Amino acid sequence: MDEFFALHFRPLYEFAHFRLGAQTAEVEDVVQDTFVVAFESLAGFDGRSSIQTWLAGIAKNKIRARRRKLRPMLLSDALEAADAEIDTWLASIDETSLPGWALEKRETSELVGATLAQLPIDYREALLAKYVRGESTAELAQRGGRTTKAAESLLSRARTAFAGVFTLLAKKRGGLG
Amino acid sequence: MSASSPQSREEILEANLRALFRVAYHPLPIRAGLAAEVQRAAAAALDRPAPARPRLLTLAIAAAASFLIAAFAVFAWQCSDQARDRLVRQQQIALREGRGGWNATLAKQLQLGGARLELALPEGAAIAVACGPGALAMLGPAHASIASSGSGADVEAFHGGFTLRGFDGRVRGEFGSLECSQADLDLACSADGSARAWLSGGLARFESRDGQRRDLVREQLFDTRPARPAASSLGSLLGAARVDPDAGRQPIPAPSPIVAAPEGTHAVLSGKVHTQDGTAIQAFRVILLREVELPQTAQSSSREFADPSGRFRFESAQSGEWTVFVQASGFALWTRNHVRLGTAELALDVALEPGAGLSGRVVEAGSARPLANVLLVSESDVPCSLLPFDFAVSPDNPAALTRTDAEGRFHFEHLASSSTVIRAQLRGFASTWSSAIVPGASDAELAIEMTGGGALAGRVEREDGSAWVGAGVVAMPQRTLIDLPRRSYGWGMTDAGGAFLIEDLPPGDYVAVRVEATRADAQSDQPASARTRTEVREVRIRAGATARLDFLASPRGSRLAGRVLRADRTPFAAGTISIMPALAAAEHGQDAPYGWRSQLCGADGSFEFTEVVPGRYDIFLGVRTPMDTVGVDSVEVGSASNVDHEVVAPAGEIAGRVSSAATGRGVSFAAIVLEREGSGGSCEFIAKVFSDESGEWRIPFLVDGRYRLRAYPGQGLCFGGRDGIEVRAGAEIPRIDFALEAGSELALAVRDERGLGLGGIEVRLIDERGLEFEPAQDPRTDAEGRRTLPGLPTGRLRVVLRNLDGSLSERWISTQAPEPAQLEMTLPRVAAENSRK
Repeated sequence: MDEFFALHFRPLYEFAHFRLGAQTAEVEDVVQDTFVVAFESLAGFDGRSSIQTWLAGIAKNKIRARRRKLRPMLLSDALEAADAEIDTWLASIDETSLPGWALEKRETSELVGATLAQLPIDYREALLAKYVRGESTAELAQRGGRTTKAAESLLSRARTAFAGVFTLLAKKRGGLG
Repeated sequence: MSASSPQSREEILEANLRALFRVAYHPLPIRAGLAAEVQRAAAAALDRPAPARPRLLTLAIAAAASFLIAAFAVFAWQCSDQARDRLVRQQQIALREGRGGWNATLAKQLQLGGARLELALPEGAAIAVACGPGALAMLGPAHASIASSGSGADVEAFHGGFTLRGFDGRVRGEFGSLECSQADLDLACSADGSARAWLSGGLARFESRDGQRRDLVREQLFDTRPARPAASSLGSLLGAARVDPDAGRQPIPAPSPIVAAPEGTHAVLSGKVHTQDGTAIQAFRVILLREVELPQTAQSSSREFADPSGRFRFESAQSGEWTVFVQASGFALWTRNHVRLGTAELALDVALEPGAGLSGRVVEAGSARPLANVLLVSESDVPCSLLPFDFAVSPDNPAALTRTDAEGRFHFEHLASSSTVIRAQLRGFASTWSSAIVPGASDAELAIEMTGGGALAGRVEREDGSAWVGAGVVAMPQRTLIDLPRRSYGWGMTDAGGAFLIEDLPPGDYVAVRVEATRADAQSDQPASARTRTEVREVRIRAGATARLDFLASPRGSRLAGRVLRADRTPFAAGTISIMPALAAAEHGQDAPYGWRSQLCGADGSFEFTEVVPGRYDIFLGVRTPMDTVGVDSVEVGSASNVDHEVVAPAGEIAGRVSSAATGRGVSFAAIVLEREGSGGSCEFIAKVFSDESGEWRIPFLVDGRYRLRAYPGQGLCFGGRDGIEVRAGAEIPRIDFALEAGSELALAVRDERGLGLGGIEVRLIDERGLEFEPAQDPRTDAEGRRTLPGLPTGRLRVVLRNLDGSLSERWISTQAPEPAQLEMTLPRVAAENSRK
């Protein structure tokens, strides 16, 4: 249980955070409700999706239920204060080097967090290992019990996924597509 | 947008990612302590698990009030209505098998084999339960309970039982269809295409296959078959019905001996089902119930057959002894006990009879107000061994159940023409049983009175003292273990605080058990201390009161542990050990239970009782539970002590048989009481056992000495006894047979000088040989000074009364069985003797 919890707690918190905005109490409630439901019905989990997807599905239902009680709020609402220019840059993450002023904006930070929260746990972990903790591909491979080649492949897929989600969210927020 | 870069897209992305994570990535701050809080909440959720399939659990049941111990297995019941509602809110179909937890489900193949299925549907959901012989989803013997939270449900009925609650939609079946609007409906569909329904709420309209429509009337039995004869007018009371005491528990006597097939792992049972005149019955159901000795109980296996020649073939049965039931619409349940199945195919010739009808009325005791919607169960006609008090539908034999109309009247059809007992149940009242009755033996109508019941409440803790959420607690009347065809029980489940409540229990002495250990646990090789223990407690339920019984795990008193060994030093594996305060038997009266506790020994013979109140305890062992319990030892438990005690069962033994002198037949369930003779005429209670179906009984684990034996057969026969029986280990086992004549019943009234009843007066009977008898479990007069003593033999008897101050009075009476006798005695009204306290 501890292992399960340690693996999924933070990703689920971030998932809820970027869907509910800065409503900390609401986020905490959703996270707790999600885990309670998950543990109650773990025996009924049929394995047709990943645990993370399953948890995310429960959390989405919780968030929908709360929105019905509060007010409609979409993802684009949560990623507030869109700056079209920033988003134009951010949407070109694999085309153009991002300017320093854009990197320092709060909106950019939000978008990074929101993007990470949408990624599978192994993609997220690979990106954080490489770009935040500065681990080498060999270390990443060793920690995950993979070959170096598999770790490289994982990292490549994680980068591509990050870029795709990041671009998508930036365009949606900026009204670009 | 800036001008294009000569870098590749991968390089740009790599550079941007490095920059983004270095500058723009900030881990979300999460409140300190949140993770721990969520983890605790999730852990609590784990305490109410929702297993995909019901677990088979083992219970141990003991009844020391009659020195009776039983242990048996039932399905776990763990459910969470919260979980069900949550799933439905999430637009998922919630499914519960047996008494398991609620789980989300999609179309799935189910192998239930007699279990109960419940579905909760979200609004707008449509399901088709396609079942029946040969169908993929084998729900034939199952019971489905469907609760719909909205409209649009469309259910295809199978051969079995449904409970629909708040149901909007249509139920289709071979019988036609039922359009329902917010309907609370119990529905039983038979293999012959007929259906019976009971509408208790909402609206329902029946449409036959040829388009005829009929609205169902609330609180009235709806039957698609031709109208049955109306119940005859209310006649004489229950007592008018004559019962053959030798009818025993065999619903239908075995017509011919069945040759046993050799033992094997799998068995084939086949046969032909026909009417008495040889006409083949084309649609019928065969139910197999394995005959197991306690501590196990068996779950029935049922299968429907449709064959023009009435033939069937059951291939999946395990070898061993079975009770075989055959049921067909319009006929009484056919029952054959002790059918031994082996590798060779065994063919049965099954001739069904229409059976008999039985009518009666149920009223509220005191007011005589007729009670409507009372569910009545003919226990011998239900092909199962356990009957919960909330029993509702019997798909395997719908004829075994009926309900009262608005005037409290009921009518059964097609009951087997042999001894049965009718159980009445209604929410808000204690379930009650009729006396034994043979349907068709009399035109008399059955009169049943119902009163309010009592309740049992308590708390269950885990070993760390925390609340045990979702633990099951079973409460079973002790009498249901002895003198009723089926074992009835009430059950409850602990809530989030570990509390449970079981209501509407009939007053009386109960055995209560916490359901926790799995069968695998109980049969494992682990010592008892290494697995979760199942312990049984005694509790007395009084009308209008709530008894309290806690299962607290953390030891708050002394501990008594050790091993039980047989005389040859081998472990007393899987036997039952009970402890009871040494003075309890002497001090037991109408107001206090014995205070016994009981548990199964581990494979190494180990046992462990915690929270033991300091004092001296008698130790009892039981092997052929619930048939025998024998006192073997005693032990002193001090305050806050940790007592390790080894119990070695002595090797002496005594055996015999109880039979009817008139017929020579063995008398089953005769109580045999054994006492050891001491010096100065004193006696010490040692054992109480019951005779088996052939009247045989046996008492093991006796120390060398002289014993006195009493046999109380009930069933209209007189009691008997013998003193001075020598028992020696290794010597020839003494065999004591009783051939008993008819007995008479003595109605005793004890009054004071002013004519007011005197309660609490002890009564003993002494025959002309000087043998002393206590034919009633409680030997004291009730609050009105009355006591009925059954089984008096023809001849002279001395009635000895012991007043509250210890003074004795006596009177000689003459009896002529079976004529009842009456006696009134006057004693001075005195205060209770202090020395007895």
